[in-house]
Amino acid sequence: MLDQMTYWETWDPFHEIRQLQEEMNQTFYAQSQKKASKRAPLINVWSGQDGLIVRSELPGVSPDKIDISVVGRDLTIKGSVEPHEVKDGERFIRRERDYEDFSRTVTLPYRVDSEQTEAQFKNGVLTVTLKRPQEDKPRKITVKFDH
Amino acid sequence: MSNIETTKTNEETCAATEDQYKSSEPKRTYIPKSDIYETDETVSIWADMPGVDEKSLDITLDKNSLTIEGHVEDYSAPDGYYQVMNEYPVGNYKRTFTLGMNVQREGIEGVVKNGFLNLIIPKTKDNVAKKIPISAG
Repeated sequence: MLDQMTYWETWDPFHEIRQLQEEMNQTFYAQSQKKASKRAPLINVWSGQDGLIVRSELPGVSPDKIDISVVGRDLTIKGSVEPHEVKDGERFIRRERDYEDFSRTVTLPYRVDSEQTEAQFKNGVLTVTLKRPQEDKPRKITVKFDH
Repeated sequence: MSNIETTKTNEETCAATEDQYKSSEPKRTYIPKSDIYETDETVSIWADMPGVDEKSLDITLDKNSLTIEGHVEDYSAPDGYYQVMNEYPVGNYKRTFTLGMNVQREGIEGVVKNGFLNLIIPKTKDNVAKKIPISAG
């Protein structure tokens, strides 16, 4: 009997409603975040003695719409695709291409010299060449022999 | 009714075996993502084909099937470089579109820029239903 009393005293009829409201808010927030997320282009990376080569396929993107930045060890490739302008009397039959803005950040395996970064865009394929600073390059250490 | 139909070529059927291609050629074949727009005068196809230029592109029209084929050379990194991340394998492109009856087989124009192909197919002018006069015999 005492237990029931306590239950009634502490029971809040609006608690469940509030909980439901919170859950709904979370769901909608997640949805809105999802829409805001950008397309992340896929990349291939090569590593060598002098540095790194990063390649990505960005078809239909004009070179001036690509923005490349290096901050610390993070390389960011972002940009936008110009959407197809639908003229008067034009209708689409099939639409498969991506028109979303794209952004991709990748943490590189080592520090690079941002001053020496070069980018080339040919036939819709981006090639970024990143140089490793001279002082960071692996050195060969010779072991001296003492007889 | 749409004037154009697409046929998705099966990756398995068009992917050639290793011996058929040179070592620099990729073994995969992709179906390029395409947009198709239509006006009263033209049908235009826009296809994503990164790595393809005007020399490596083949467009063939056989009866009413229009095939776009792009050959891509696999990237060879400089000596001493090894791959540390591989998110996409490079591949060739192939896709066949079936054209409707009311398109002009001549006068198809194509432009490729930044790995992006645009084909413009003109439609026949007289696609309005014709009335056939019948005279009494």
